[in-house]
Amino acid sequence: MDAEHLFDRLAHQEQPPTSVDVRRAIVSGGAIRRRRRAGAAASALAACTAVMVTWLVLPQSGQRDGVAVAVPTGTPVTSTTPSGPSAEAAAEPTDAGFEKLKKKYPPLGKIASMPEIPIWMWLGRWSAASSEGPVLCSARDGGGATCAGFPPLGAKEFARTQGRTTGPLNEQQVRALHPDATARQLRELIEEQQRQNTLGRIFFGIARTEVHGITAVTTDGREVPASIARDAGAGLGVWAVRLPVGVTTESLIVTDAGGKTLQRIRGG
Amino acid sequence: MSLDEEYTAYVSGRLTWLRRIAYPLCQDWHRADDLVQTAITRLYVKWRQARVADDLDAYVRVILVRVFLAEQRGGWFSRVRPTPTLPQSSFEGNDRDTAMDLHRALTAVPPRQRVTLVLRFHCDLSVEQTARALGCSTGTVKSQTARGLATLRSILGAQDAHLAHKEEC
Repeated sequence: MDAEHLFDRLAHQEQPPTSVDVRRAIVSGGAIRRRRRAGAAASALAACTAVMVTWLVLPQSGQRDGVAVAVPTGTPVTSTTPSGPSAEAAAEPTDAGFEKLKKKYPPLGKIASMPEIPIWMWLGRWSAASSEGPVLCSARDGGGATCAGFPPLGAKEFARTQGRTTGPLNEQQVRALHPDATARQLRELIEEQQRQNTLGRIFFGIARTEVHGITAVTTDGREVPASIARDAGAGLGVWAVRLPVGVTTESLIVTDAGGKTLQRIRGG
Repeated sequence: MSLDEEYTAYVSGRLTWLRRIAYPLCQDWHRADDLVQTAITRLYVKWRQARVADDLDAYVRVILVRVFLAEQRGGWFSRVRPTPTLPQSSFEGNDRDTAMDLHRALTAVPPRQRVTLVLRFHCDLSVEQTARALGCSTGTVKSQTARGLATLRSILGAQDAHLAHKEEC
């Protein structure tokens, strides 16, 4: 038996009319592409959610409830009074997560306290032996703490948004992220999220030392000044801004000491 | 020429060729059309990368083979579609019996071995090219080819003997 001859016979058969439709392939392929793009966007959203969730560490027994922290009432969106930089360690969060991260990523400079947000931020060191750049750490009393590395600012970059909070997760999402949590802990986590969410959405990031002001411009034209702590270590400052629930930023305006615009970050 | 036009021009010119590869894999023109339809849909999704490939035909052939193998793993119910008409046969007269024997023999060859045989003897690929297309070693291609051919020989040989015996009676 000659295999090539056998397949030649198949190859020389007359083909019946085809039902293959190139237009249908284009339509179906286009739909697959759109679904994949939507899936990628959902992954990005999930990553943002993960940042939010890392803040929501499980309450430790014997610690005070996060609700007990003095939180100022929401800053009016129309306020033009900048929340002054306060690069000093005031009353620090009492969460175990904050202490743990402070120990793991010791501050290169001072811990910036921004009670008006409220948030504590610092630039930490990876480790004594590591040559990696600094990490940006943030903590909220009762809201947990998080640290993350970041690429250096580009030549034309004066500031960058490194993190933002998202809306509250539902019970199912919280359970998926904390599979070992008890029902009571889950309830507390969800309540904490809802409390955090009523405070609004927080954007935070890094800035060069020459940056003296960052203002969030909302889609309806309002301006919200950010709090900045200059020279938080490694030649960088940190900043944060809180927007009320339901308000979306159109851009962040980065200005120098003279009020000159250094950079405009679209979308925040 | 836009990307879509480029894609349409390429696929339109390769439909016959793709069906000729798909048919020995599944021995059914309707299913071959389904395989080709799925393969060209996947090609459209990856068209930006595919169009700059060194050998676009080889790229598409690999997609087709993978579609076939993936479908084989999907189960019988996902491959069989009842149709109101009988499959159209393009063989006439004495060739019809031979064709049925060939189909039966090929169907008996396991899918992976069948793909190897099709790539080696129908697409005239070398052992190395087949190994690249299937993502396996050349040794695997050789062993799969040998086993596939052995299966074909055993079935076709048995049928020949059976036919001979009937003729003697």
